[in-house]
Amino acid sequence: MAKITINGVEQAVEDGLYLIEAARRCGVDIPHYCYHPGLPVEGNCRMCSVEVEGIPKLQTACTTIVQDGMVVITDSEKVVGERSDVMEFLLRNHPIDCPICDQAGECGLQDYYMEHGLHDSRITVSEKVKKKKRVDLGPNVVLDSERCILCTRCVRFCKDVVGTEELVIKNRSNHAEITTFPGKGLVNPYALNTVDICPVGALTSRKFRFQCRVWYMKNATSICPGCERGCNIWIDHHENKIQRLRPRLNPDVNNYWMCDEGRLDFHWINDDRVLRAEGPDGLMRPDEADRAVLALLSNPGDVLIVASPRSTNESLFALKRFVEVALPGAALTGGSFRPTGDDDGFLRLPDKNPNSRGMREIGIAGDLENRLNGSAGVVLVFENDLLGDRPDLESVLAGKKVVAFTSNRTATARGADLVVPVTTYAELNGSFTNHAGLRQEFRSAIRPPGDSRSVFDVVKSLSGLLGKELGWESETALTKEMTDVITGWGVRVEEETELHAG
Amino acid sequence: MIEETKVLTSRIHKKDSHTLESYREDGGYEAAAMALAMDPDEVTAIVKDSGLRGRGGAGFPTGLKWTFLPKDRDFTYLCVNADESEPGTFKDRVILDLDPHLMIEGTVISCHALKSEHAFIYIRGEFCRPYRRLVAAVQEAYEAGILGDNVLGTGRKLDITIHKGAGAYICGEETALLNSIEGLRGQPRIKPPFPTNHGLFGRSTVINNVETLANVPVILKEGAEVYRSRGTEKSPGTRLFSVSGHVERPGVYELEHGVSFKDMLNDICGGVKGGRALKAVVPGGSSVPVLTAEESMKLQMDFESCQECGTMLGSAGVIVMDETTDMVWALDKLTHFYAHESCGQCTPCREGTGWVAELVHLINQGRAKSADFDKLIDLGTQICGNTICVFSDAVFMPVMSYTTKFRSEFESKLIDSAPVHEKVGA
Repeated sequence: MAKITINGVEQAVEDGLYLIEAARRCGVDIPHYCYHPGLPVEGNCRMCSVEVEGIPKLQTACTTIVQDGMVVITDSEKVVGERSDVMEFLLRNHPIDCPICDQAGECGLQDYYMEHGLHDSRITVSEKVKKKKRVDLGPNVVLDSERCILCTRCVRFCKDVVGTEELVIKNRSNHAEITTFPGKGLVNPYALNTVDICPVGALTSRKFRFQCRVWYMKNATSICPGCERGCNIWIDHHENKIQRLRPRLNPDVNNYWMCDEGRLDFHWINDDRVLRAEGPDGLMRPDEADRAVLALLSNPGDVLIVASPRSTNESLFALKRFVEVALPGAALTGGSFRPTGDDDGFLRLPDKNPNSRGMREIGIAGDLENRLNGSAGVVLVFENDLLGDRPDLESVLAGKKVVAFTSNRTATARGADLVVPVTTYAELNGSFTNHAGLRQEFRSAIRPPGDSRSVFDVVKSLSGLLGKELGWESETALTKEMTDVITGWGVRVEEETELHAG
Repeated sequence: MIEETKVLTSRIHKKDSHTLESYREDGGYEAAAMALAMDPDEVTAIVKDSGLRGRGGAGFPTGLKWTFLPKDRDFTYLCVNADESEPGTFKDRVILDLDPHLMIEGTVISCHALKSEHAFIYIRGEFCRPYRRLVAAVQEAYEAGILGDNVLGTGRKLDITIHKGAGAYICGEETALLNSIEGLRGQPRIKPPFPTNHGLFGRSTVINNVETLANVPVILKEGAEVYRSRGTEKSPGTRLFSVSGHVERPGVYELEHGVSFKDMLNDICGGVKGGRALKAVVPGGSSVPVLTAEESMKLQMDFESCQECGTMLGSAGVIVMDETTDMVWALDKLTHFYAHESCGQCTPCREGTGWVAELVHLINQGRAKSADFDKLIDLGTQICGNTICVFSDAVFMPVMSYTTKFRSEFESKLIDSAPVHEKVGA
């Protein structure tokens, strides 16, 4: 531990920390652009300059390592003046096109100008250096060179985090620009992280550009269902539609990052949803649907219930209890035919289901294929697109009565005798257990559309109709029992406060 | 009447002075043979005793720099900074072009002192003939067994790699130079760590200027005592002055440190061109503060006298400007250069140099108001000091000195400047 004095207050901080990080832990926020805790330091924006006693020149807090006895001043006239100067320089050639800029509302330039600038402009628009307004860097990222403040966060991300080194700076002085090598694009599978870490509106997501003003959006903490990594995410939504997903800091799982595949995989939540239960005779109310399902359950021995590693722990636990209590004799199986991917050594993992481990630990057998080939005449499929993933199963399911509990119009839903709408992870409080056994909770972001119900509500209603009790008043009671029963699930992972710079 | 003291340049007027044969005729590589027989620390001690100061601009004591290398290092590189790009400076070119073996011998001796087995020479991209001659000289040295696996028969190893720059001024900054050799973008690194600890490819590295290294064989040959007998106490030895501008005989002249500028101008360079009056002098390359004619008459050309005069000896690139010079025009050219050459890494320098250049240009064209002039002065102070390297200071110093010392010239070009002549009857 090193003792440092920041603005007159003596504090003990860890050795080897950069001053900017040490100050943050002491509750002193030093403004910065180029510094990002997940990237190597660069020290080029000069916004974090502070006074260190004994050194005549201002020192950049992001490149200075704390030393015992260091006396630091972050709010002197000199420091404040320097920040204002740097702000003026940063805005010198910035187009200030906030009205058409997607970053407006969460922009480092706007925030710090209000906090540290507030100077009157001493330039006219015609004097500014003109650069390209729309450069297609790759399939997902668009660059506006005029807005760029050349902090090189994106360059360092590609170089030091992903290792693909697609981005470079070309030219010198105020004509310097971010670019890719001729004929090459920003094509790495994590490219959209550059948009997150861009402190200004220079890098924008092609999917999110011009879609929604950031100040309209609300956000909820969630977990990416794209693979068994379980990256921590923010769901940003507006008018009950998801607008974008962003990574949320978790040093144990995904750090500051997530892959583009997971990030862009949310349109199925907004579009093409099953809103009403549907049987052979047309649309049904939820209670009619439940009675129609019930009619198929007269012989439990003939019933196969298919769970999914895409369901939450809570849904799976409820389903298991439902079979045990209300439908003894019925078979319960789980699994997925989703095509697997590769382990790329960074975040993406082969199993494209978020909760395979949770399903195993809850104790749902994974003998899906054998069971389907068995004799069961009624198959209840929960959140599992069997036919979409394996079209050849059509013949296997042909002679059976299939009930699809699904959020979307999947191939399985189209081939089912009865379709019952259920919620997605974005409309639920729940949890996934990732590949490493970490149970991660998330909150519902949006309201369930139409008649969609959670699996818990569905099985609760069904067991009620069967005259049985699952034993929980609420989902909270369910969660409590589940975490008590399953080893290691009681540990709550504390949510880190997000370090979002600029 | 003073004359040149030809120590480093004693051979440059000979025919084929750039060849090994010619160099050997004049006792070339004898100093190297002598040095290699000595203990490396002994060589360092001699260079330290000589008081040799770096010729690149900062004037840091060379021997002292060498002792900064960590004792427990396992590998050392020597980088020769031949990226001479400072406007008004052209003395390294003369050595590279006319006596490259002098510098190579200096490199051999220095590498021995530093226990380095690999030297890199970073040569400016625009130096075409010097580059060809340097390559040929290194080739000759390899063939003669001066470089390679058995340096001068001592069994020691030394390789020299020549790296040609691509035309960026900033690559003359030592850490930008390292980046450039490594194949990275040529922009200065954050210090610390200093190159002596973490330099080229992460190894301990010493970076010396061409002229500095050319002094090393001389020091070894003559001994520190004799070397110190020339120049002043704190600036020993001779100096290659690149004199350009309004003089009768511009060129590179080797003079002892401490020579008065007046003598240099009149005796060596033949006075101001056309007998016109002197107006301003830049004594150490374009980035040092300018002096008025009056100030320059009292100036002695050594590190400490220049500092007393409020300027710097820098790279000893002397730019002489006579009474016909428009100082606003001169600063316009200079700031244009700097705006173009800022590496663009740090915010104040990237945006500030361009802005300054624009304002000076505006004033020079007679389109600026007094508010613009005030803004220029203001910007000068804003740019300075808060950047990774000293490039921004190099812009700040001329801007502040030109505008202070020749303020009236700037003011007279402003649209809303006060009228020069008072109204009749007022």
